[in-house]
Amino acid sequence: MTEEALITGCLQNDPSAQRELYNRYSPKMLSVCYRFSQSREDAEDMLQEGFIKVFTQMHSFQNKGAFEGWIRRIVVHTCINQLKKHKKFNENVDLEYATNVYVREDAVPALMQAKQVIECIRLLPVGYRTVLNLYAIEGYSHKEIGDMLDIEESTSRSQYTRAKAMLESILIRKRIIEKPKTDFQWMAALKR
Amino acid sequence: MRNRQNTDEFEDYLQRQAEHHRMYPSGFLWNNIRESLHGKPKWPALTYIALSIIVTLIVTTILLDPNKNPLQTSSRNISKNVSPKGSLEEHISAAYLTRSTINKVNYSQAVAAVNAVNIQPQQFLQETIVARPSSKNTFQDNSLSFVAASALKPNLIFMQGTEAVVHKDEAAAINDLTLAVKEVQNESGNGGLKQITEEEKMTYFPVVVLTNRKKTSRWEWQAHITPSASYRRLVDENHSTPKTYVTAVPVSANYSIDVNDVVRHKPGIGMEAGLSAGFHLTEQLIINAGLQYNAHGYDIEAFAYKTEPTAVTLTGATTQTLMSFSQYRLTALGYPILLKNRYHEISIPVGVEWRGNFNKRFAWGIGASVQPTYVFNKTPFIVTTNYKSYTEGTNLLQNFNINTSIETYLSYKTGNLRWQIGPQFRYQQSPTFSNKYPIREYLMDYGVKLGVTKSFR
Repeated sequence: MTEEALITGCLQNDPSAQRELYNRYSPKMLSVCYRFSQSREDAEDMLQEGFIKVFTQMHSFQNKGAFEGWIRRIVVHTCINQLKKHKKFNENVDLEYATNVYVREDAVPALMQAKQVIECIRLLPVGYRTVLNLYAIEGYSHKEIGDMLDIEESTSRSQYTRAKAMLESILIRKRIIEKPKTDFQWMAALKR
Repeated sequence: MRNRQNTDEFEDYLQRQAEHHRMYPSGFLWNNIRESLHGKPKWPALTYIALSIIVTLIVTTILLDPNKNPLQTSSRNISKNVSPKGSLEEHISAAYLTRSTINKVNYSQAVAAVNAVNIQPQQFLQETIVARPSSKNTFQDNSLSFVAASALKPNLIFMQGTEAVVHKDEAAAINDLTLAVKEVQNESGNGGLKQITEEEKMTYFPVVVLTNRKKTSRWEWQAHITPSASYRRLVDENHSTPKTYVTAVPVSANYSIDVNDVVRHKPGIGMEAGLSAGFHLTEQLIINAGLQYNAHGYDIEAFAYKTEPTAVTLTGATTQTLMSFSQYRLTALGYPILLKNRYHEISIPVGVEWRGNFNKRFAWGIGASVQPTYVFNKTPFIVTTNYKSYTEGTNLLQNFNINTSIETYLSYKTGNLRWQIGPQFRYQQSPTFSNKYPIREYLMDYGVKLGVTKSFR
C-alpha cells in the first residue's frame, strides 16, 4: 500500500489502513520513545499515546513535508509532554560526575552498535538525555528545545555540552568509540 | 528545526546509529490503540437472546429426543434401543422386532402374537425394516412373492435364525420383488433356487414391517422475501451534557434534550430477499446459512435553509470537529423537505430454526440468525451534534456491521415445497456510524417474511 493510500485510508478511519501505518512506523517510533524514556514500558505508553494522536490528527497533515517526519514530530512531542509531567529539565550534573559515571558491563548488551549507542544514551540523566536527543538526533534548535522544555536557551546549550561530553566518556569507556586524537576527527576515531 | 549542516561528526554518528535502531512493540499495544479509536466490540442484548435461543433449541432437542441423535443411524438406534426383553406382543406394539425376540418364540406363539396385536398396515408405509434370511439358511419358494405382496401386513415369513434387522437402505429392496429375489438367490451361493423342506417351512416365522420413515435428504433450500418497515433508535452518548436548542428552550435551561425528541423521522419501506441452505440436525432442528440483500431506510423531516457551516464534534481519545456545510435545518426555517436515508446491504445470515409439525402439512417454527453485514451506500445524512442541522455523514459510515433477527412462522407443505409466512424482527447491533460520532443510530426492521422451502430426497 502506498503512503498516499495509507493516509487516505486513515483519513477515512479505515482500521486496516491504520494497522498498516502502525506496522510500518511503530518500530522506528518505539526506538525514538525508548531513547527518551526510563523503561520499555514507559516507551510503549508514549508510543501508544503518540499513535492515537497521529490517527486523530491525521487531517492536519498538510502534505508539505515527509509523512514520517510529521509522525516523528508528534511522537517526540508526546514523549516530551510525558516527561514534563514528572521531570524537571534544569538539573545539572557536573562533568566530574560524568567521568565517574558507573557503567555496568551488562548494562550495554553486546548487540549491534546502534543498540549499544542507544543504551549508552539512556544511561544519561534524564535532562541531559532529553536535550541530547532533541538537539543531536532530532535536530531541534536550542531555542526550540528551550520552548519545549520550559527552560532557557542557554540552559539547553549548557545541558547539551555536558550531555555530549558525558556520552563521549561513556562510549569511550565502553570501547564503542576510541578517544579521538584530535578534536573534530570523530569519524576517523569511530570503531568500525 | 536547526540547519543540519551545522552538525559535527559526533552528532552525525549519533544520528546514524539512532536511525538504524529498531524496536518492535508488544502485541497488545495495537489492540489498545484500536480500542481507543474504534471502541470495544459490542454485543448487546439481542445478540445474547439470539444465541440463547440457538443453544436452548439445540440442547432441548437433543435432550428431549435422544433417540434421534443425529450422529447415529437409524439401524443403530433400533439395535441399541430395543430391549431384547419383553414379549413378542410388546415388541410388535412398539413396532420393533429383534432377532432375540424372534428366537424366543416359536411359530404358533408368533402367529398368536401378530393376530392379537392387529397391526394396521398404514402404520408401516415406506421405510421398511424387516428380518431377512441369513446366508446359511437361504430359502427359495414361491412364498417369497408374499414379501412384496404383503409387505404392509404382519404375515411375512422369515427363517428362524435370521440376521439382525435390516438397515433401512436395504429394506427398501424388500418392496421390490425382483430385488428381493435376486438378493436371496445371490445368498444361496450357487445361483440356483433351493427347494425348501417341510421342516424348514415350519421354522418360518411371521415378521412385521417395523418402521415407516422414508429416507429423505437432510438438506433443504429456501428462497425468501421480507417486506419491512424500517425504524431507527438514536442514542446520544453525550446525553448528559445540556444542549441548547435553537427554538423555545432557553439557553439557561440546565437540562438535557433527548435527540429522539428533536429529530423527526418516518419509517421507510424496506425489503430483504435471499437464498439459504438448511441442514436438518434432527427432524425439528435446522441450521441454515445463506446470502441476503437488504434495502431499508427512513425519511427525515427537515427544512431547506441557506447553506451554512456546520460542525460535528467527535469523541474519542482526543476531541475532533468535523467541519462541513449544510443547507438542511431541523427546525422550521426555510421550506419543509424530506431527506431520504437509504441503506443497501449484503449480509450472510447464519442461524438456527426449530420447526414442529402439527400434521403432515402444517407446521409452526421459530428461528434466529446472526447476520454479518456489509453496507455499500455512501450518502446518509446525520444530525450535527448541536442538533441544529443535517449534514452528510459518508465519512463516518461504518461499512461492516452485525445484525440479528428473530422470526416465527406458519408453514404449509405441498409436495416437496413448504410455504411459510410469519413476522420477523431485525436489529442492527452496532451503530450505523463510527463510534466517534456521539449520536448512535440503531436500525430496526419489522417485516413479514414469505418463504418457500424445497426439501431434497
